[in-house]
Amino acid sequence: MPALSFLDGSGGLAYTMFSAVEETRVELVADVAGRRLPVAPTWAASQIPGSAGLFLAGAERFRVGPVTREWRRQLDPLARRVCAMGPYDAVEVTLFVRTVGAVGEGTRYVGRARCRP
Amino acid sequence: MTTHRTLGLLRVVVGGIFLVRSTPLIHLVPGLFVHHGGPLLGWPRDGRVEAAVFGLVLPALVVKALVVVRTVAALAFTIGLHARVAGIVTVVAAYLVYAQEPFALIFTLHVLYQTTLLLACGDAVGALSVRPSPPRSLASSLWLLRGFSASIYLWSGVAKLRGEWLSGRTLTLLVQHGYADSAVARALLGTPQRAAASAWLVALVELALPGLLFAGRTRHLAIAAACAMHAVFEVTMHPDVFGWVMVALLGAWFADDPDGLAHLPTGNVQRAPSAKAKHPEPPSSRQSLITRTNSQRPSTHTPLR
Repeated sequence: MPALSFLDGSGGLAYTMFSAVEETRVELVADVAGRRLPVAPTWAASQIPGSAGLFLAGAERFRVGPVTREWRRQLDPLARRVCAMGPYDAVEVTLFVRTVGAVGEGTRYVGRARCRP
Repeated sequence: MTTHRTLGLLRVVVGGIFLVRSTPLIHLVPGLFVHHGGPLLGWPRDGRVEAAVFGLVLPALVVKALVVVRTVAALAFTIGLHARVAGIVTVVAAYLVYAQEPFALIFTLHVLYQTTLLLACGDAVGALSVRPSPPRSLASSLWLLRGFSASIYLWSGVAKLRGEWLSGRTLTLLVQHGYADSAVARALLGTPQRAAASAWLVALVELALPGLLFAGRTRHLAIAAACAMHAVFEVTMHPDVFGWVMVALLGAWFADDPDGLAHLPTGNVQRAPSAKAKHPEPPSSRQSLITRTNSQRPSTHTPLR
């Protein structure tokens, strides 16, 4: 299992612990009547209990933490949850991941949800 | 202590850690990661993000039921009431609940659940149990746990064979960003040189531990080194119950090779006088292990040579 978990490059089951760190930032954008409005992650965090709230709190700026690849796969559900926070037509969640101390926005991972049929 | 009792004791200790980590008992122990929301780990709250690992999103009612099942089963596992079934149910329920929190996946819980599963599947369900189960193979149960603990150190050491870690930069960043904030952490990791030395030391110890543990002569040294390393982790990084589980697993290395068959409460386990008679000299520890394992299966018993 540990070896297999390296197939996706993550080593997610290989007891990597705190061996690597990275910087992450989150951007939330909502579509409202054809306009794109930014939503503050920390405000969104106040509406969401549990670990997802902790993930969003203070995520407006880059933060250093252990590498956690699972976050990248959960952006669509997060966008769906943000849909319920306002009269949004659609929500886009962007996770920026970069090497610590690097310049620029790094790699982007995007999740989207349509809030209305 | 006999292998039989050691395995039973490991079950009780790991089950106890499981109960502390997943119930309100956690509030009695300072420094642990307190659950979000309810009194039981993973209890779903209104307004949660409906996400899960592998998309295994479950309704809140089902998650609540699984949390209750997990807790009851963990208690049964700890006291040894149908411990094998209880342990397996505990882990299945725990992983399903765990999957509902994809933003909080941590190795501590993964290691705790895997350890519980290995104990449940092996002969840890016999001793110190309300309802003991007869052992099937003490040797393989013990070596499975030993191999598991050694593999964790090995994989963890391999993951640290990176320039970023070995330069000490990763540790320095963890200190700067509050992941290691004690006076001990600042003393050990406060300068780039100390951080680099600590990083090398941790990687080397983790990589060396499997070999030192498996080699009988250096086993006690390895156990002492591992305990010291976990103690330093505790006062610097506070890694939840990870150190507790690992130190508990190290207990498997304290047991001698399976030698407790004479004390077992079951009547269907035979010692191996015939094998002993064929070997006038005392058998080596490996021979002893094989003999006693085979003795549990008389129909497949074969001479050692």
